[in-house]
Amino acid sequence: MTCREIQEQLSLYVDHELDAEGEAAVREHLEGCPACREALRDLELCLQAMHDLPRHPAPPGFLQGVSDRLEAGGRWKRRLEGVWELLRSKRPLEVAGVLATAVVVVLAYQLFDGRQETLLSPPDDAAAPPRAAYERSLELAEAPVAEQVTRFRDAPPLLRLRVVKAVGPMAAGGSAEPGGRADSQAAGDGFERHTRDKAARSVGAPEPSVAADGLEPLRLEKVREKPLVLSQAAPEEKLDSAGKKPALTPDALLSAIEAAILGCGGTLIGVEPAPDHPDSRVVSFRVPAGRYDALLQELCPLGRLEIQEPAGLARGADTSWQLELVVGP
Amino acid sequence: MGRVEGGVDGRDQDDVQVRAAQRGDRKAFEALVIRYQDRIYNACFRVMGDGEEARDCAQETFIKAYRSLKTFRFEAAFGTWLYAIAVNTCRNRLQSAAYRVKRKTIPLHAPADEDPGGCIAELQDPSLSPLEQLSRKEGERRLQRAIAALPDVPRTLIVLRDIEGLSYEELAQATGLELGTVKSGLARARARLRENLKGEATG
Repeated sequence: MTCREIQEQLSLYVDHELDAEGEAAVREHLEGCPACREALRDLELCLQAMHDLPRHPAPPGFLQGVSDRLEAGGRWKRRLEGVWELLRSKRPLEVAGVLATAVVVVLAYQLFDGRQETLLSPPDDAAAPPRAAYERSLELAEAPVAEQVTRFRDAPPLLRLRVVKAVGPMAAGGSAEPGGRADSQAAGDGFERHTRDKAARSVGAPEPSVAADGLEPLRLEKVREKPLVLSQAAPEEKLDSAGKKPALTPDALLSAIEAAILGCGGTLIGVEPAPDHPDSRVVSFRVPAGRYDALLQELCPLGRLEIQEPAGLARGADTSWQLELVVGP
Repeated sequence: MGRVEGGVDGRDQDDVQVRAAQRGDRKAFEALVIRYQDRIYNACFRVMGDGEEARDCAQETFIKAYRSLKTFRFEAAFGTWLYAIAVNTCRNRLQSAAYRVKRKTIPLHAPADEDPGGCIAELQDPSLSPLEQLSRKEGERRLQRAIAALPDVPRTLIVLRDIEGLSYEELAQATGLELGTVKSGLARARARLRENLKGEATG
């Protein structure tokens, strides 16, 4: 094994998670390799430092805080149950009174909420340069997506990610293969365009560039000829199910995946039904090799992520990786 | 306070109290909170890098746990289940727009510096000289900054494994990742942390 392969195994080695054969191979290599011994020492020092970190106990009044918040939640639940009982009793005057109160409460809350938002805004917001204000608005606009994404946690869809191969730099796509570009421009529908590209590749034509300048950007919503099904079985109960919430819609999932890929500097190649399951989709794309970890981080909250990576892929700054993400049952 | 060896322990005792709590015994649930509050708070503190955020996330963890108690099926240890909820709560918070706005206005290297509860002072070893105590505190700050510079998922893996001491199996249960992904993800996370620490040392 090379030093790089050994150093990738060191994390499992220090945790005694390698099998006997693997452990013996690493040990034998370490005996003759000062560089890998140095890497092992670095790792052990790092782990020791974390082991030695002081532990921070919960602050005083922690339990009381939990109880108070539970009580507050319980009080609202009881009030809502009271309102529900009243509505069911069909006493018109009292129901009208409750509804009027509800309207007043909602209006008051909106007024208060508006004020709160003003208080939360940075004081120099109005004077902020346009760029900063724009970035802030983007962050706020992202909020609904983040909230939607959290809904997955009850029944996360399966996302199978496979690194297909290392290819050239992303920027080199500017010199598009002429045939690919002509096909792409002629096609009015994204799905047709993708299948045509695929057919061209299958007969041995050079792979068309996917990041060609001047091409209309490929968007996922253009390439779904039928609805995506996320799960056929009833969602299983997961460890982290904290309250039942509706699952995120397939559209929102695909949008979130698209945003994750584009956000990591990636380029979409296309989408097609999965060969083993027509209700699933295979999303093909490229990302710069250096942004792969960032991509994993973005994809992780979206579902239950399974990853296949061939060993020894090029990771240089001028390398990008071609990947396939299978979404669905 | 010493490190919690072996991650999650006392499973039989937990199960008895969880069953009582599932039947509506509030005292039994409070006993579980008392048993796990320090572990969950410490994990939240290391993920969020901020005492106030850690308290909020840790309290929310127990509130969510209480409300979902009936869904707990004893397939994993109760402690692992709590870590799973804590991890999701912290991750949601890290991704929320409100937190990002806050993070822009409060520099991330604040965490250990502000030490709102004076935890570090309490934990200092009186047998060390002031200089040694200062050096230890600076070491903690640098390490916390290096952890905070990791993306959410690697940060979670590092905290649960290398600080909270969960096994790989428990790590997979708490994060919902496959065991193989946990192994490769943790190896990458540790490599990145070493790079971050080198950056701290040279920068």
